[in-house]
Amino acid sequence: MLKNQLSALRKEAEEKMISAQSVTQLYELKVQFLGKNGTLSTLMKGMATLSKEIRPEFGKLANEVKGALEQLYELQSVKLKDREIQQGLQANKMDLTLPGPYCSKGSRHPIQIVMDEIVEILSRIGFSVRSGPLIERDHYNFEALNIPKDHPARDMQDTFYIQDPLSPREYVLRTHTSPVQIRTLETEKPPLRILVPGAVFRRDSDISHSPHFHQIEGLLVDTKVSMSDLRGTIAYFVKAFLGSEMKTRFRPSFFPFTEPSAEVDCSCPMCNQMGCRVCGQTGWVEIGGCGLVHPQVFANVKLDPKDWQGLAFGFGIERMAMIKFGIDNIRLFSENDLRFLEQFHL
Amino acid sequence: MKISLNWLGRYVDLDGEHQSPEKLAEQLALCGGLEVDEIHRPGLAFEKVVTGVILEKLKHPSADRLSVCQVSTGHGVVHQIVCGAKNHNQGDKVVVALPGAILPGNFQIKKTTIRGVDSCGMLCSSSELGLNSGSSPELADGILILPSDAAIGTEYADYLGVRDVIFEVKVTPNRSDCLSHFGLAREIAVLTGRICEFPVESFLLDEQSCRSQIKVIVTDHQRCLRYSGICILGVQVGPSPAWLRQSLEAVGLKSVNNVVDATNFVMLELGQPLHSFDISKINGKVEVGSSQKGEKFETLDGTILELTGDELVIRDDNAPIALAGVVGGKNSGINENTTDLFIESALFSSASVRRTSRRFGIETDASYRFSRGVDPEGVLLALNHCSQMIQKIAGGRILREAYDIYSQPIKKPTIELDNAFVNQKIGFEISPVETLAILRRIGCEINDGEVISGQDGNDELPGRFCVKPPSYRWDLRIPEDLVEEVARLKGYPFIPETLSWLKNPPKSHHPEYDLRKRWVNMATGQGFRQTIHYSFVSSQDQNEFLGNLEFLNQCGIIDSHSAVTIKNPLSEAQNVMRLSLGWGLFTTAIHNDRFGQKSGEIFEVGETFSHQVRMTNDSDSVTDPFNEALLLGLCVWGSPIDLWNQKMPPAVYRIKSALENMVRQSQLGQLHFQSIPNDQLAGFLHPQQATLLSCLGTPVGYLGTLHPVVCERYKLRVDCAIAEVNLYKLNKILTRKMVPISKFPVMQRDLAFVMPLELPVGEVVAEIQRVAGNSLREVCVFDVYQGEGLALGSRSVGFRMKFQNLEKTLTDTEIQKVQDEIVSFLAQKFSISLRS
Repeated sequence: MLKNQLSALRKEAEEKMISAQSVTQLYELKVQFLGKNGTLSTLMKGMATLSKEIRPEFGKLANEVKGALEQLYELQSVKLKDREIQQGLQANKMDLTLPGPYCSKGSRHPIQIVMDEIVEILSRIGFSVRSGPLIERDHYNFEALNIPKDHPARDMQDTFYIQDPLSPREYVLRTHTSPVQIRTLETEKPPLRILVPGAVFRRDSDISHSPHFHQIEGLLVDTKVSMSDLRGTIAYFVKAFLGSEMKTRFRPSFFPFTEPSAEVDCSCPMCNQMGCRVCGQTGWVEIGGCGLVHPQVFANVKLDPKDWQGLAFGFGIERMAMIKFGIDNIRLFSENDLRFLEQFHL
Repeated sequence: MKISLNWLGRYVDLDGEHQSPEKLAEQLALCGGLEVDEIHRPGLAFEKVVTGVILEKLKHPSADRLSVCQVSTGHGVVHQIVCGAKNHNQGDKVVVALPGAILPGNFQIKKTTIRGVDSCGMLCSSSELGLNSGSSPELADGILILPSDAAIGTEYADYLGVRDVIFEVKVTPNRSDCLSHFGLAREIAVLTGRICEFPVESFLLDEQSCRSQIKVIVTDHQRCLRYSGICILGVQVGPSPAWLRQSLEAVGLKSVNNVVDATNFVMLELGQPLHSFDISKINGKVEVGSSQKGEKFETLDGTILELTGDELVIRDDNAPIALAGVVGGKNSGINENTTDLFIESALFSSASVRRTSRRFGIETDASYRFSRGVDPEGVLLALNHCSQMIQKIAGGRILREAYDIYSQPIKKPTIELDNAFVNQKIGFEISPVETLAILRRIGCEINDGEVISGQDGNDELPGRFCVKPPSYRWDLRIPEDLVEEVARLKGYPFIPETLSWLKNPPKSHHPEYDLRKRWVNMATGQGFRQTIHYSFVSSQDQNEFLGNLEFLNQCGIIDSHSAVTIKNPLSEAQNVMRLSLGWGLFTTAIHNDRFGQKSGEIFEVGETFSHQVRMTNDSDSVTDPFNEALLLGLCVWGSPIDLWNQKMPPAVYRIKSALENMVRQSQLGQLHFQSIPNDQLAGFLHPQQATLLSCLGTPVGYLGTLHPVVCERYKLRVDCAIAEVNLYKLNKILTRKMVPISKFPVMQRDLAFVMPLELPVGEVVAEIQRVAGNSLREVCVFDVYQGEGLALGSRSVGFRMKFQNLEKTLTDTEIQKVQDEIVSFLAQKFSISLRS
């Protein structure tokens, strides 16, 4: 009798669950048949009236039914949920051609991008950054770098002087990053390899000159340093910065703080040395100056030139950025026009 | 400096270089270190001037003095030309200026009609071509008849061979030896292996002695190292011959008269500045010595200078007659009436000439050369050469016994050079033989005692030499200087590329660099674009904009009120160093707004400058009297067009979020936003929308909306806000330490309080944090409501608090206890209560 009821219940529950139309309806059926006070539970409570002999058999049967129904429920539940999701998709259609919310776009200044990249490249071969003040003592900017007063080399760099009637010293806006060479050599012991990126100032303003511009300078001091080390360093840098196919060449030049001195040209990256406006049809563009540290510079910081040798090089950041990004007017760097700045995403 | 290749050709064989001067220019740059900035071809002055032959000469139908010629310029081209000269005949070879030609004196040849007859060009006379003036007047009057074998149809420049090439050469300050044609010829000879010679011509001296004419004494031997001079009597001052005029004009000098031109020519030829005095204007003796303070001096061009007592001058018994090495005096200069000359050729100290030239702002060809150094051994050569030249073109007698006061002859330095050192410095093996050959090529003497040939005449030389550089190479002083000579003449391209020093370990960057880079990256990450502004600004703009500087001091942006002034600014618009980044950012906002960028987010990480506060007139040698601060400045203006799904918060809040994010990213702690009393506020900020930024009690900056009055003044009609943070100060306070993470669950509670509008929410938040202590992980404002259901002047603020403990799971009771404490403390302190 109970057995018949059990199989009837199973049949009814199975049919209803299979034909359930929603997850809610299915859940209600689960409660109705399998819940605490559901049909199956009620039926199983009736087990107490059964004889000891058939009770276990019935119990086993009842558990079988329960297991089967639960399994069916899980199966149906997954099926129905999936169906509901599928149906919901259409209703939640979004027009993705509409714009997303505003999100301002940050960017580094091209000068910063070039400076960071040069620092990164030279950090790889162990150069580390040093810095110094922009309002610099005349001594560090000139004298200690072997540029005495009344020396024609001072004409190479038109200088801004600082008004400070109280000070016994003369101050300038540094005309190059080289004073940091001296400051570093005064405080740190060689051997060393340093890099000085930063702002410099010269009293000069036209289409290719800005009174406030940027340089990066490298100084390496060791017991033995040669011109070939200088060539190797510069060649490594140019290849890493502008591309492995780039060539460099040295031209003799003059800087009071290096001897020998050279100007560095690299093969024109615009025209592949075919000749263009940027390189003035020569196939080469000037990127900076370099040389071996003048013994007088070592003497000025109380290092014995017999014990120490060095190499130094410097590049104009604006110039590098102009070459790298094909920029033709130096004013763009200080104008800060967003139409210019937004072209640099790095 | 302008260099004429034709002129160079007097001293060095430049065969073939005229055709491709670019090659020579490159060689000068690559091995000489002398950049040729520009190459001109002035032979083009004779453009459209060709040789021709007169085929037919007829009388002009309506003018007796004119003739009508048919002139062939070859290739079957015939021109009809009306001519006024008489000396030409049919069959003569002539020089024809065709329409379009521009003859000396900017004389433009055009197609014209002369008395009813067309004339297509001009038959030229020598003077019209600017060629001579010394030849007989009859010849000068008529047109130039070329020899009968002259080829017709040739461009006249080619016929004459005057096709010159002018180099604009950039000479670095060390190479004063190249500041002349002969000097450059010498360098070209070194670079190309050619021979360079200076043609010395002898001349006759008069019986009379210079000493009888004039007395010369030198009283300052420190600054006047060598002084020589000669007298030439009875010269005739007049125009220079064409070749001299042309030579000078080709390199950009104006012809004055034959005597002045001769001194200029020799200066450009040998690099030795010369000066000519009119003997009749010299009163008494000539003395080289110091000026007197307050003394007046009138230069050749009429400028009156007041001397300081520091200048080296040439004077006679009455007054200075020249500023030594810089400029001559009006009182002693020569003119067309001068007949007797005293020519000076001297060596003045570089520093002294440079100082004087800078002091008065007078730079002359002479001072330029003296301040870079002239050849002490070339002084007499130049004097003699110039005298001979003057005599040739202006006549006169050259007196004997020229002065040459050279009390302490300059000794050539002897440089000891070890070939091993050369090799080590270059990083490349160069044999002693090659080193020696190069040094000899540039004119060095090698002390013979030091160079001993090895046995069997092979190349084995001892590694060490004693080298005496030539007198004109002031720049060769130490072994490194010689290393450079060897390296450049061997050729820089031969030097291998090595990185032999990589053995030493690297060190870390200066912390300032890392700081700067970190903030640039963070601000970029917050969606701001980096800008870079000049470090100098107009003091007027800066003061007007910033207004009350005390405010910037209060919030830690500046340490003193005084801006650093530039002594020699380019303009008033850039005359002081900036105190703050605010003005620059604001001008960029204005600039971009004007150009159609109606909204933007920008920042700058940069230095600002101020004078240090000084007690008294201290002369502390260790510290410098300036502060350089590193600031972060942020500026937001306008609102990007309101999108379909979004409304932008005010600019000032957008900066605030960015600032808080950055401070959080640095794991620094927390920024506090303190209100500022109105009377302490800077003029450029909105009094109701500005706040001081502090971190752990130290002021580090400010944030605020720009004052509407300031915006209106510059016609910026959008919402604009600015913040500045002193990065050095902030960095000192903040630490970058990892905070441990709790593995216990987070419990969240929301509380809403009704409070007066004037009560800053930030103060309530701070109090909640203080009372809740360590177990409060985070508190944020999730709702602000004012309106219906609340009393006027009050608002409801909802706080969401997240509780979490490092050691255990918090129980409801524990959290309830903290919550009750918060409510009662807030009630006590601010008299506010929970919203019911």
